[in-house]
Amino acid sequence: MKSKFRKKNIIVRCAADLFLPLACVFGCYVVFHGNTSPGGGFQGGVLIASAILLVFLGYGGGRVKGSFSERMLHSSETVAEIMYVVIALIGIFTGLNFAVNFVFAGHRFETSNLMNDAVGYHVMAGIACLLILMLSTLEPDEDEKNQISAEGKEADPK
Amino acid sequence: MNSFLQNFPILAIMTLFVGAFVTSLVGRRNAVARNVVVAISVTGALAMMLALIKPVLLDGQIVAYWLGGWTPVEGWAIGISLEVDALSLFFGLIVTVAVFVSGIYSFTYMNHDDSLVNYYTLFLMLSGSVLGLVLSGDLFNIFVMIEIMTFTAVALTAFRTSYEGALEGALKYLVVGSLGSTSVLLGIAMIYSQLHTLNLAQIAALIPGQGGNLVTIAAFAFLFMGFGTKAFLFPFHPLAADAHAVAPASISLMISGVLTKCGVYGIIRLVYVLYQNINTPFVSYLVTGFGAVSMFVCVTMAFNQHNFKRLLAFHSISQVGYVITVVGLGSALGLSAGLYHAMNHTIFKGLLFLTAGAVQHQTGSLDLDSLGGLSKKMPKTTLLFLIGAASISGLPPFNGFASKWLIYQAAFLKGVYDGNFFYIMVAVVALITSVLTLASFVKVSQSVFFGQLPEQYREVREVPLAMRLPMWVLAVLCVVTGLFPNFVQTYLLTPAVSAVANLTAYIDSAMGAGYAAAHGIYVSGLTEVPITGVWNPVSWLLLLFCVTCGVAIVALLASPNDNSKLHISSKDETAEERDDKYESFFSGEEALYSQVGGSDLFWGFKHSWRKYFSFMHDWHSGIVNDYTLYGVVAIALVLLVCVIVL
Repeated sequence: MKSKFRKKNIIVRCAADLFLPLACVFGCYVVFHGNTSPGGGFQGGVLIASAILLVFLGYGGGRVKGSFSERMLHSSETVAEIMYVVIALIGIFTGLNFAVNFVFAGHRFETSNLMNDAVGYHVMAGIACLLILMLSTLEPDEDEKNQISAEGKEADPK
Repeated sequence: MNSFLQNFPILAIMTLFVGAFVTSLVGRRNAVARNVVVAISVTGALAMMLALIKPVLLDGQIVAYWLGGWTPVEGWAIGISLEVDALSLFFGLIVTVAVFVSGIYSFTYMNHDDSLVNYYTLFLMLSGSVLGLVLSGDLFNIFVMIEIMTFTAVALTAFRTSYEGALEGALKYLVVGSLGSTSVLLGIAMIYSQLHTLNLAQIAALIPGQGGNLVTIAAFAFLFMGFGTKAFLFPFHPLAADAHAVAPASISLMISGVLTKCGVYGIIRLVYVLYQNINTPFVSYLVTGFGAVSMFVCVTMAFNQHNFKRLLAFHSISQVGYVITVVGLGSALGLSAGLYHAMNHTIFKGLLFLTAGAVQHQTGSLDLDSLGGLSKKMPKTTLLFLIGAASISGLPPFNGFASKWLIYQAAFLKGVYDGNFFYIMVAVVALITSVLTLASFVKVSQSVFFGQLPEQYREVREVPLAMRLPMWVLAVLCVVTGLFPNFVQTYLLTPAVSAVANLTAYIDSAMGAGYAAAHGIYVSGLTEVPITGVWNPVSWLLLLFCVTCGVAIVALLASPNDNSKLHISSKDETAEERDDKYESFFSGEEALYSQVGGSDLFWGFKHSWRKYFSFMHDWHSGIVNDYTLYGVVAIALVLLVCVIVL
């Protein structure tokens, strides 16, 4: 058990553990407050997606592949795009214009909140997808190769 | 106007975009669902555009649609708008018809390829962005749509990565296309810095008050060259050929029929609506000059091609050159001729690209030197090709003749009225270009469809009906728009031209009544000129029909039945009947294989022009750095000349 986790520097792994929830929470904060404060869907989405990089730094490429499904993220991206257009289209089908603020105007909660959320979701899924694609082109590093060969040796006697 | 009809422009754009998203969601595993989604979105967009014909083209209304209900405040357009006048709708119709035909054709044409979900997603995004570009009432959204259009078109060009040169062609398109996009962005930034608005109508109202402001003049040069890049005008033409030769045929249709039209639309909007400076002699020379040079250079380049689709690509730029030439004349007749030819070009060039795709689909080759004699194996495709070739060469009674006639007339009349020799020369160049077009299509039909059938194409069969049907749609449109130019003139061209002329209505419908008059904008000098020539296309069709009947009767009389058919020297004879002993005294020794290749047919012409062609040979180096350099030099020169002269 210990040998399996020995491969990465303990400092890097601890930092990754520490910052991963922070990145997620801060990213969500930026997405949800995008219409009233600096930032917005795009920036928040990128922040959330950076969690993947933290996992890669702390635990290596193999763990990234095991933890995230590229296909699922790709579908999420599409769903977010459709969500955005549907929110914009509600304006037309309530008898108003495209992308109109159909929630009561003047309230703290607006249509732009929903649109921001959709953008955040879309960017998160899209950037995560790109990161996984880019990371999968990297060569496995020394530790991982050792681990793979060690696993192979363990599996052989059985 | 029915208030829900106002939503149709945005709904048409969103139908295509949502179609793209849904395709990528459901189409990964289920091919039928994917095709259904694509068919529904392209048909939906077409239907919505058709529904707008009645209010916009016939009743002359203008749809000014503010997204999110953000109407102008105190005379400043703060929101994003779509503004659909007759000109926008005219181009919107061209776009949606081409998208519909291309989408239906793709279902069968692309069935040899894999990862089609990416193809259809990109295709629908390309269609949506182009539709968004022509319907937009906002300069910055035009730029956004140009970017989406360029990047999806680049990805689709490189879709068949197994083709030699696919990635190279896409890279050239990407680099030089980005040059054009950057140029547009620079122009927009300059306009925004001076006028503090991005709305087309407001810019049109404010620009005349700028007078000799150098920044807006520089912005004009940048925007003109940016849209020129998108139309692949003269210094940018080599990348179009490289991209077309490797792209799938349905995408070639989109690039040639739709993307270049966006450049044409941009230039018309720029010189007639935004700057209203088309009556300045310099602008007229500039636009006409670029058009005439592209028209002539590209038609001569087409002579040297050995690839079917490369040849069509050069013709495509040549025909867009015609459009730009007459758009630059600044007369109502010229503009209506230009719009007519733009529409016809999408129809006949689409048809020709689809026949090239059919040949490629069945034989796997586009090489003019190795193909031949396919008329025996693919007679229906040959018929469709001949309709397209006759149209593009300007033979009556097809549509190419109708619009080219207007083009010669417009250029010549402008020259005569102004007493200007330049425009008369333009008319002559247009005429010569048309003759050369006919010559090079004789070459294509000789080397692909007629002549001798090579051994390896013995087993070629006709394309399936699902591919012929879109081609027939375009072929019927070729004949119909050629036979009834008066209807086209009344219902499509006159509304579009008068929408361009009626600038006050365009500005007032977006910015509120009286805005144009407050800024000193009145109806510009364009007036309706009802000239369609004194020829009757129906009588030409009857003549064509009679001649065809006559030829058919002679052919039938000559061979009453198959048994008594006279064989002089035919390969159909069996070896026993044939006695080669006397052949050499009768007709000389028969060559084993006597195909006239694509390179041979006009060797005399090419020989006498060898200096010009060797210059062009060196010019088209195929190096992306060179092409970028030509583009930068052209932009810099136009910028310099505009700033000095205007």
